[in-house]
Amino acid sequence: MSDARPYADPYLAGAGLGVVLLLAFVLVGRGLGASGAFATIATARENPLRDWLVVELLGVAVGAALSARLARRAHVAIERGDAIGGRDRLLLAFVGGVVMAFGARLARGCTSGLGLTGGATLSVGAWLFVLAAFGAGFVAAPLLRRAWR
Amino acid sequence: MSLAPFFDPPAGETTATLVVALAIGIAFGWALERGGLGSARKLAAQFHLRDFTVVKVMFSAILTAMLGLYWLARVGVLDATRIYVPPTILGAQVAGGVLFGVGFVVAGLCPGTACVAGASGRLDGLSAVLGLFAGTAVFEAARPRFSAVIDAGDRGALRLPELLGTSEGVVVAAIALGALLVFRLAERLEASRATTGAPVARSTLRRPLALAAGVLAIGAALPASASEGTMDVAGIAAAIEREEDHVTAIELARWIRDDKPGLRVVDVRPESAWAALNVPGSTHASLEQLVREAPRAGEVLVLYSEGGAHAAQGWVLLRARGHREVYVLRGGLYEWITQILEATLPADADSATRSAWPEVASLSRYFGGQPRRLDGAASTLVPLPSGRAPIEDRARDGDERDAVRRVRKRGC
Repeated sequence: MSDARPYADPYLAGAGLGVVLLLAFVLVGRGLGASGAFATIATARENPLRDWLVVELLGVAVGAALSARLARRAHVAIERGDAIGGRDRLLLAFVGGVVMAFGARLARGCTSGLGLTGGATLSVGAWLFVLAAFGAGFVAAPLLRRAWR
Repeated sequence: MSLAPFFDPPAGETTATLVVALAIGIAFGWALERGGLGSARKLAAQFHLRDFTVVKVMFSAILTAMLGLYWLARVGVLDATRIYVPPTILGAQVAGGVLFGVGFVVAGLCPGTACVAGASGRLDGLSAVLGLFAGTAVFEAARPRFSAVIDAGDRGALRLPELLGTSEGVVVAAIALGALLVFRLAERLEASRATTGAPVARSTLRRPLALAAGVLAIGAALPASASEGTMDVAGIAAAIEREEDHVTAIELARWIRDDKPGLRVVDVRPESAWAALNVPGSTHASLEQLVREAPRAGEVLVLYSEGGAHAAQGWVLLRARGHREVYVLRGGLYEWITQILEATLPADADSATRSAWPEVASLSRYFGGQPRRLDGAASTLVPLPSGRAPIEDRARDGDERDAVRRVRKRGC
């Protein structure tokens, strides 16, 4: 959208995100997460609304919707490259989600729970995960260049 | 005493912690959206090295939280041992990381950012969220089939300082300075390529923030004093005052009999002494080996030595290394023998001792001991908990008696 406001300075957004992560550590002794909440909802072993990560992830949706609306970026669309159609893009997003879910369940976390939380707490496994994920991402990216042309 | 964290995660969720969860989540989602991480196009461009927003936001966040955690712990405001550290499971995390990275590139979004994209109205974000639910459900259903790989290389809450054998401050400084270097490279690479993406603001705070990070990083590498920078001496002293440092022989006997979850009993005497006589279910390890291990979540460690002094020294070292659930068997193996294996009810026992006797006698028999009562009353048999056979006597007549005598001669 042409009237959308510019994105924030990435370093400032990152520092803000870091303060949020630090607040989570200081207040409740734990970091941020995302993929764990999907597992709690998908298995429905307990009331998801009493789960810390599920409530946190609901907050993420609320915060993102508020921010996008105020920056005039909230509108229904399919974000895709010109070379592929909307349906293909939705299919890729779904398949990517499935593969990511497998990876995250195996590794016990995702970019939030391992990358951010484990990165800041100096967890060996978290740094290994980040290296493996970005390494694989850079190797796989050329195969998907067409999707974003 | 340190103030933070204010709530303990294992204590379970309360309304207060859930309100914190919602507030933290809102701020998290806000920061991601503001930074542009709700845009799949921007995220995909990171992997094509055309836009470094993902690296910049992610590493600025890690840098900020890592330096904050380090300094809050160093000035004593925060108890670092009570902060959750994601476990290290080598095989599963490398394999999972590779799968995750491929999925990330295919979807153009990761789990958190897919929620952000969906919440801003992007249908591809919602599609990725559906895929995440489907993948999670399939994985959970098929979990037993992955049992061989899922725990491969489990190393517990292993952290980089322990792995590298360096101080926390040096690791923090190295990561922080490395991140600042990566930012510089990213700026150069971006400048050399014409970017056509959405406009991004440029803050005047960039330089001051980088400078502050640099100063805090270099400060972290400088030792605080002659002592170990982050050891919570006051906290450890308080735990000793509260007598949280030991278990009695009877408590330990109960724990072993009841299969207390996470229980690990370690004999820190020489290995030959352990082989000759030990507490059933115990393993042998030297203090040096124990101190090298990273604390494992959920583990309850009980140390014992001949009398107790050696184990107590180990207790202090392990607490300083961040172990929380660690105890010393009070009185050591000597007490185990006198209180359990040779439990005796004296003739002049008070009423409390007398009423506790049936359980003590039952525990003694469970571990193959011979309880005796010297108060003249007939011994009443207390049945063992159902379904449990007494533990096999080890080298009953020869070695054990000798070992008991040796222990007694050496005293505690």
